[in-house]
Amino acid sequence: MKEALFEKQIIDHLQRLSIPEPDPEFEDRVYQKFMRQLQKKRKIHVFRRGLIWASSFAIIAIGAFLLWQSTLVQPLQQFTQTGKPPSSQTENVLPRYSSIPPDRYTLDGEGLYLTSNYITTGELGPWHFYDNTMGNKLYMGKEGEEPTLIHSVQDGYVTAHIYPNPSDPSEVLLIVLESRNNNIDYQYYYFVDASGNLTNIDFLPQYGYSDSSIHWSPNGEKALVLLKNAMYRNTALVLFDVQTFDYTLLFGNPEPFSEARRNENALGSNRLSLVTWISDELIVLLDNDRNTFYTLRTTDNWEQNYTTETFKIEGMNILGLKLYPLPKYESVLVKTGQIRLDVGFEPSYRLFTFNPNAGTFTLMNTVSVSGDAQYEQNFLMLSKDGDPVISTMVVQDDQYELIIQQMDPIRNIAMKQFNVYVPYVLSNPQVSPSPSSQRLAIDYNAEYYEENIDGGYRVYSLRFLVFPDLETQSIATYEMEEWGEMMWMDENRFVYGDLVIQLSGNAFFR
Amino acid sequence: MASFEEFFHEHFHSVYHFVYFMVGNKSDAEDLTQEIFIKIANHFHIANEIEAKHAWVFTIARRTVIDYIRKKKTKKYLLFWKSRLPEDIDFIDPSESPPETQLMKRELYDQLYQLLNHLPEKMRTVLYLRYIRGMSVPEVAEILHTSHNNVSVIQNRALSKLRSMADENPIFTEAMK
Repeated sequence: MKEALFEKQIIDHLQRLSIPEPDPEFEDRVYQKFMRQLQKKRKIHVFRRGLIWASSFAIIAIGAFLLWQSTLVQPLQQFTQTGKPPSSQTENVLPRYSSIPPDRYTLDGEGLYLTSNYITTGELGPWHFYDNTMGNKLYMGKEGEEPTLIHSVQDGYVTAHIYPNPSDPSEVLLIVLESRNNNIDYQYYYFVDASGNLTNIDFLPQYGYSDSSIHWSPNGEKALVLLKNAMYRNTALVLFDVQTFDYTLLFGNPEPFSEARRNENALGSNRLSLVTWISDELIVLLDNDRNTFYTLRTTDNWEQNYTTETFKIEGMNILGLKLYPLPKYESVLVKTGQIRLDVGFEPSYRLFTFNPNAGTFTLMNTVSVSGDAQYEQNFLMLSKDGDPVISTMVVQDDQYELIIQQMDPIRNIAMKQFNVYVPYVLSNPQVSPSPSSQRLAIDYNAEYYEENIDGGYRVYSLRFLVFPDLETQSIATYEMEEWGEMMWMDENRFVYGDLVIQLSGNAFFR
Repeated sequence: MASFEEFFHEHFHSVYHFVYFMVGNKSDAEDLTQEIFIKIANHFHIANEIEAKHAWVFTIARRTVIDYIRKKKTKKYLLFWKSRLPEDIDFIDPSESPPETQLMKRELYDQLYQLLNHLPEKMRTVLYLRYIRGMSVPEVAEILHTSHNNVSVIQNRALSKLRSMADENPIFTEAMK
């Protein structure tokens, strides 16, 4: 009774909430954009429809002409080509995809939560992945061609994690997650080859694992599937051979709804958090519960041949942890740290090199700081030579120094270094190397805070696009109000959203 | 063009309200609302085939918000929910109560928002549609593409969860006496 009354009061409070109306100027602005976008789309559709009608008409006309032609020349062909009477059954090879009216080809991934390594996209290689806008059917196809239905659910909705093969992005592995009413995620695994043939991989556990990921080997011949069930603290790791469709359960409990046992196997796999390939045969795994790394050659027997290294790092936290393989050095770069939630620069991201051959775990020496300086490190990319490129932000005495380095992680020295003072604390870098990898476009998030008159802080967010020039130690910076898609048109022209930037210097690697 | 205009004005305010409730600040609410209407424009050619247009629009809005929550999880978003009542969101209090009572109520709504933040997105959405938009269970079920029973289950779980969290909150228990 008391509970019901309490809930009633909560409902009462909820009903009294009032949400402000939108600004009329904003409404008008969105209306204008909405109408412009509609007109733009209509033009495209009219053009496509016209094109398809014209193509269809042309095909019919050509078909009719050829048919007429074939009836005329058939006797000669019969005699000269085969010497046999013609078969009444003509060979009819249908293309895998045929044209569809543009009003049926709906999406390019928008409206669907499709992720590939946390990047939301609907397009991978030649494929578009999209849903029927209601989220209960998932399709793939090439633009303007007949789509293939990958997955369909009656109730609930689907999301998909798509993992392109690093050696051939037109080959993809998909995990389709189907959320149902009882909140258990059902998982379905599919493989799409370069020709678009779809295979349902049905031997992997299909439900109960709430978090799964696929890790392709660098040569794209094998894939590791890491399955995790948070409720039962259960993990399994499966090695999947894409060539033969064979699989090996490396370790873990294949039953998702049973408690994992600590001593079930040598690894005690129930808190395995991250996995990565260093080379086509060598994998590294991390048990975050025990701060322990495991390495294994996939050609070996797991139970006998794995090696372990245990480390204790302050601030090592699953939320901030990431592994970046360094194949050239048979090592892995480990990013540790806490995700910041509050106002102010409280850097915690650090980069360590884990060298399984030497059994060492070393803080990357990207910068020497003194006194009360604070700094954080982020991995940007691998250079063409296979060296890690690191971005470091140092804050000292209200000065913000940005350092970008190409490192030798084993000798722990910078081979190339760039540093410059910038007006804001820059964080969360996203890098886009130019086609020849000479230039780097780095998109940073810059946040600053202003005190309100009536107390508290207001957070402002900017984007900073920078092009570091190693030779002149200068930096071209562009302040952006909002995030934009990054793309290189060629070596000298870079597109950010709808802005085209022309570059002349600013080459990081020469 | 008139039908486009009607369509826009029919849905604009409800989309903005929902987004604002979910993200809690004007700046992000405006960004997301704009994004939602661009998406709607991109797919408008299929709108004619869809009977329940409001459900279609809401699905796009909801999933844009989910995507935003999943993808960004920015400091701004977390900071906002963690620390204070969303800017401009207020409560309707017809009584002219003294400033202390107003302050207490303000604090109470602050707490209510913090509790709401601990609920999964689906529960928050159901509470919004049921109690702020005042929709019936069948209407919510249609919009969320789920069964009546499931809406009731989610709603009851959400209220029960809110209650158990509020039970441990001194400001709330004091106000509810």
